[in-house]
Amino acid sequence: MDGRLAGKAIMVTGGESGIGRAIVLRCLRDGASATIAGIQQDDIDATLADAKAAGAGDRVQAIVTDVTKPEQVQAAVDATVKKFGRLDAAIANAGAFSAATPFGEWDVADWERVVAVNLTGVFYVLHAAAKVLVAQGEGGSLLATGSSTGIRPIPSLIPYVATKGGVHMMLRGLAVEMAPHRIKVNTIVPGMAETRPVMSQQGYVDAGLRAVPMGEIVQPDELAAFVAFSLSDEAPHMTGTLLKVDAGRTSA
Amino acid sequence: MGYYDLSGKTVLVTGAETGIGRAIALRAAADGASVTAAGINREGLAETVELAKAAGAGDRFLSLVVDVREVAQVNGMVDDTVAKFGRLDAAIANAGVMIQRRPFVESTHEEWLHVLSVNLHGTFHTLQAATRVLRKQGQGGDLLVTTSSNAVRPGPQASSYVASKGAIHQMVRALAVELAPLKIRVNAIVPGLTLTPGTINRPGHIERGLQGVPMGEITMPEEIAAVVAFTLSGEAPHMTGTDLKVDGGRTSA
Repeated sequence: MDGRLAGKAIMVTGGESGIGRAIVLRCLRDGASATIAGIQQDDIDATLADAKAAGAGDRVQAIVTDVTKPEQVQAAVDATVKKFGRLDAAIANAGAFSAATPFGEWDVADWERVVAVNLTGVFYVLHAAAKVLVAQGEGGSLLATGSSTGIRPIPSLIPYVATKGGVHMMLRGLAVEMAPHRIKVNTIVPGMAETRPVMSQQGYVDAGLRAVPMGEIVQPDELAAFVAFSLSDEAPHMTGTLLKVDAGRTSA
Repeated sequence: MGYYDLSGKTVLVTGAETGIGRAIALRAAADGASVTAAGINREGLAETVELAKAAGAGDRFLSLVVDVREVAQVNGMVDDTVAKFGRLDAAIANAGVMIQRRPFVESTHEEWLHVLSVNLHGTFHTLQAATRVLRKQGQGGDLLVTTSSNAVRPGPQASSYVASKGAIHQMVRALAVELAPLKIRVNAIVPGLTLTPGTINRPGHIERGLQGVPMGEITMPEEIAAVVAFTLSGEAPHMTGTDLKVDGGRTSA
């Protein structure tokens, strides 16, 4: 173990699967302690088991967290500080995806669910974490998972696209506001990534890849690698940056 | 240093006699790469070589005096690199000139042409020569270009510099798309206000510049070199068309 993130405590929402899981496992490998704040119990159990098998030992815990419930988010932050003695980074990664749906056919309840998880949930996580980071007075990192669709939208996913655009701008504003506290604020920007919601939709990947210059799907580990770099002491002034790994999708 | 394993890779850096280019060359060498350090300033280049040797780069370090404005010299630089190290994996078109700020109406055609010849034409020459080799090798590779936070958020009284950086910034994006099928990744290095001789030697430049940096601190060349090392590591093989921005929040405000 390299230990580049040794001594740092992180919390990852949606840390039980996909990009969140990759971030948890990568940061543990680099020596960090991690709280998996997740909602899917079977995925939480599997990720915990993999982390233990990789030698994370006592440096990992899981807290069942619904990010649409501010008291649950607060509890996850509190549990992180309680177990690891501090907080260095919060990664607001939990998100809700949807099946592609023409705009006129969206159910208002689905719109509200996507906004509650992807936008309000991100606010709850960063808000609770920022209070701890500011009080500690030693800087830290806040991250959220945006999307290449927050830059280059896909039709039929308008609520998703809107929330991700909101995340991008929220984090840009936060980067400026948090800078005097030496708190770095960066946005994870995946292109079409190999995660369950993406892979489970019939035809979605094939259609999507036609708009990806490299013609390949991005692996969650690639985003986790960039996140680990941004959390390290090698990047003290990296803030307001889009950690974009999209195989060229938003360049075209 | 040494977190990323670049052993077996050959990296070429222009503008390596000072500042960001020097930091990239030294970091790549420290992470195990073979490095061609190219520059126009012979004394600066000699210092870079000395630092690399002192850090144990040994025979993995080649320095070449190159004026990136001259196509023949740039082509020769790439040829010499391949001749010595057997291959090319990454080219970092970093050579660039800054200018003394002055009102637009007082700027001159000579200055405009000079800035473009280095920052824009020099970058074109370097990327084109490197792409020919990468394409022939058929194993992908990395192209990087040092642009500027000024390409995203311009400062006043430096229109030639800003225009040249804006142009190469957009060139990166276009090349990322064009070269993606060849698995050649193209990314932009986007430094904010960085501690280099170019910024130190301008009276008042740093103090004034920091007023526009939310973190209120200057970026060190080693920070830029670190994100370049991450890029070259291949840990994110689908990262292309990305702005590697280390600017203390300058372009976010």
